[in-house]
Amino acid sequence: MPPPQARLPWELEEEILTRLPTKFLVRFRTVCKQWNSLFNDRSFIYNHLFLPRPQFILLTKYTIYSIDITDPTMKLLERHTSRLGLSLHKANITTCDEFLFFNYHPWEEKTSLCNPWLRQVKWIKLVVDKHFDVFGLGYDNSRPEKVYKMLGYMRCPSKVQTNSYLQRVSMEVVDNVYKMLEYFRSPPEDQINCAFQTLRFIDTPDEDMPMSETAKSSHVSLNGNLYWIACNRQTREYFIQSFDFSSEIFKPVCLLPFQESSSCDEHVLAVFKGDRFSLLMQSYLTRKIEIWVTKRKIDDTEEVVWMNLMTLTATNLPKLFNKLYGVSYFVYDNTLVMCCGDDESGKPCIYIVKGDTCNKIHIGADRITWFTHCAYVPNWTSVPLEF
Amino acid sequence: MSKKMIVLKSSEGVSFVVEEAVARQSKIISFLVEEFPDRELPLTNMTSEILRKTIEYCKKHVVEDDGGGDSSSSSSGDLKEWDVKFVAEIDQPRLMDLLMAANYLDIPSLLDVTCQKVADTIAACNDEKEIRATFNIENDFTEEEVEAIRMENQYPI
Repeated sequence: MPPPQARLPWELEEEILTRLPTKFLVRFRTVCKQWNSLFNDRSFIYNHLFLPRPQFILLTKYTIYSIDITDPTMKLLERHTSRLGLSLHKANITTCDEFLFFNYHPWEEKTSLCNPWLRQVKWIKLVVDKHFDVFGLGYDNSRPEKVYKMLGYMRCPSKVQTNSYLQRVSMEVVDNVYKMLEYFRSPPEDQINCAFQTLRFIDTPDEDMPMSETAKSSHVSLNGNLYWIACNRQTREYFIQSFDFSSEIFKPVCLLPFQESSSCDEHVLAVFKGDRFSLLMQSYLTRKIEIWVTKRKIDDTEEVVWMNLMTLTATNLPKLFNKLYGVSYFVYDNTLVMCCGDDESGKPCIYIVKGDTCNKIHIGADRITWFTHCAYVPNWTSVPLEF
Repeated sequence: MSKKMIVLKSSEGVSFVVEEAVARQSKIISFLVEEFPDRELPLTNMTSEILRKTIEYCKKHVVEDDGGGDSSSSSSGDLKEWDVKFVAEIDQPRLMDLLMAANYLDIPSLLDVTCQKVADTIAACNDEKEIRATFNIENDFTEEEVEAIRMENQYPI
């Protein structure tokens, strides 16, 4: 028998592990401590790890699913269930960098940050004495460490007795709230540490309703800031509104590229290639879909330039207007992939649109009555233990 | 014009006469032949068997740039197929040696195919115990630590 072989040098082992498909994650983490350490190495994750294409995350009343569109069966893969103590009903999901952000109804007084791929959840308990309606999560990108903040509003009795007004608030999440490690048991209430949260009131005019309910479920997160489509009430122009979490101000970013578009047309904003925007526009009259993308990455210094990426004219495109549970999409490999409710039944469907063809695939059984969804790129980033 | 040849010597002292263009796929050899022309290059940490395999790979991958009609360079699809077959025929210990050789001689494409083959081998293992056995890795985890990692990453698939 040959003598046992010596181990490879570490850099070669690392080189090999970068080529391993992500689904062998657990197997590879449990081999030895050194292999496991790679899992916490951000540069390994970003530089080497093969990142799969975006997926859809679909949330039903009790379960989180992911849908891999490369799988022709479009099977719903369970990612997280109610056993984990998440009450999902009526939550709203958006993304914040690599994580999913669960926004519950204000009376729940909590939100959570989660990586469904790693099955990690962090709860953020809202310690405010008033009714605080969370709009979205972001962080201050001007500091080396991420200081997470929440933007929301409070309904306060106004000085004029008969009315109430919306007070915009940004909230800094200062302390670690809670990390759920025991996944199969609901967290005992007394283990939830209360956070020290600083409330700051933002004085902005309410003219263009920059924080509408639609924007709350469709805003996108990029570099810690939030962006959404808004309409100027005076000029009727559509533009991208933003909230900058480092300076805590609302800022219009740019106009949408098609101003002749009627107000019935559907516009959906998304992040494209990690640091750019994409914009889906469906004409109400022709049902034709256009995808526009920004030429460069989004930052404060440069003017935003739009370019048309594709125009889709399939005759069987779904109507994207007034979808009860919204539309999420991503563009990958010259293909538009959308998730939304079916035109007739309202049940969740995936649409794969390329050139002049559009394929519709029903996902899940008919039992799904309520759902929310978003596009998400699976990743290995651990949810921060402390904020 | 005859092609320029160089001599590579294995750890057992066996000499291999190779076309320079073939050997130059190794960045290290490429550097050495410029520094020390007309000298045979001793590769003391490579056995004849591994050196022969490495040369076989380099011969297949050499890009003929003298415009000769019967160029040995194949289409990229064929070459890929050949690579797969090439690493499939090598047993595990020798594959590791070849990977080390590719790293030592700095032949990026050979390093790539060997690393990929090893990654495929890991993926084919049934559990972490089999991975440890295959790669001679000592388990430095306690049962509890392994369980904790499993709990953190419950996979539905």
